[in-house]
Amino acid sequence: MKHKGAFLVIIMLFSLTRFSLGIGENTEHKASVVIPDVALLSLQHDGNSNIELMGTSSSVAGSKIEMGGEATADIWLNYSSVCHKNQKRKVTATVVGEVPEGVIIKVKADNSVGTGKGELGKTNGTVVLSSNPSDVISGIGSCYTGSGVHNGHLLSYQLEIDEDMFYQASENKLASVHVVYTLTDDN
Amino acid sequence: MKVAWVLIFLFGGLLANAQYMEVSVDGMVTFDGVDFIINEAGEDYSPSVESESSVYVSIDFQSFWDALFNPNRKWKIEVAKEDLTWNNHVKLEIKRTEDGYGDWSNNKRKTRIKGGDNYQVVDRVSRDFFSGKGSAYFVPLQLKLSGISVTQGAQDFETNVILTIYDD
Repeated sequence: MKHKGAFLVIIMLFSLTRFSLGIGENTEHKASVVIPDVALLSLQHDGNSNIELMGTSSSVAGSKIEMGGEATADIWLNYSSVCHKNQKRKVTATVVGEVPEGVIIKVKADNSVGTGKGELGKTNGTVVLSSNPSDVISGIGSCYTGSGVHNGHLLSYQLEIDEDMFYQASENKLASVHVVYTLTDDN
Repeated sequence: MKVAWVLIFLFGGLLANAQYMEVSVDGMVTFDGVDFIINEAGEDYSPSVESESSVYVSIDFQSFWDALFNPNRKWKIEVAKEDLTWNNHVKLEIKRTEDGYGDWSNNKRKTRIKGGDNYQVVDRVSRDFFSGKGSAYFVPLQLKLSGISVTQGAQDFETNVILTIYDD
């Protein structure tokens, strides 16, 4: 009887051991993903990115000088923006160089077109450019506009005259300025 | 005497069946700003990103006696993931890039492993990854992420990739 009991215990232990062999043993390693903030901006164009805005002299004595009106040079503003939830960005434009007295340069960015996706920025309409940054596009979240021409925001420029200033101070001369665009946090 | 024979039979069988392989992993994978590249303003990230082979898996006998009495023990590895925080738009895939070594000491013996050399999806359900016989050391693994987009925003997420070894 004693032997029988011991025998049963041995068989049970043996069964348990065999059973445990069927259980897998595992190990693990961590895979982490860190997607950082990104703010990339570029201007895309076919050919030359220069824009020439010229005043036209009047053919009738006594009438005012007309400036070039609106000029679209097929310049497209592309950007890729990765930011945190609820964070927004904007595009500002700044004039670098000396704008003739009485001459007003304006820019308008159309709403984004093309292959872009995400929370694309909205145009602020026509804005006056100066040596201080002017908000051209705002409300940019995490998005991309698509790259190259016909993607993103098409830019167009206007020249206007502040007549009081212009006729007092302006000379007949060429003025060249740069317009610098910046993709920045909108706090 | 009868009892003695039964005991010998039982423990002999136990010894023959007590092949218990163990699996271990060295390293971890981090995908970060170096991996997520935008070539030009206006573009999205690349459709997929591959990790460097910086994770190595080793399969070994749990004891010297196991290795001595059954060096050709068959096993299989299954893979699954357990998310800590994860972006459900993102697909994680895994493969082994090389065979590793069959011998710990001089790295000369070839491993006897098969499968797992093409990318396969890692998700919460455990799936067969690769199988083999005997020991295998420093088998390099590579992970691939796809489905990441600029539009998902800046974020961090992570998962545990779980490798489980079974007798095959």
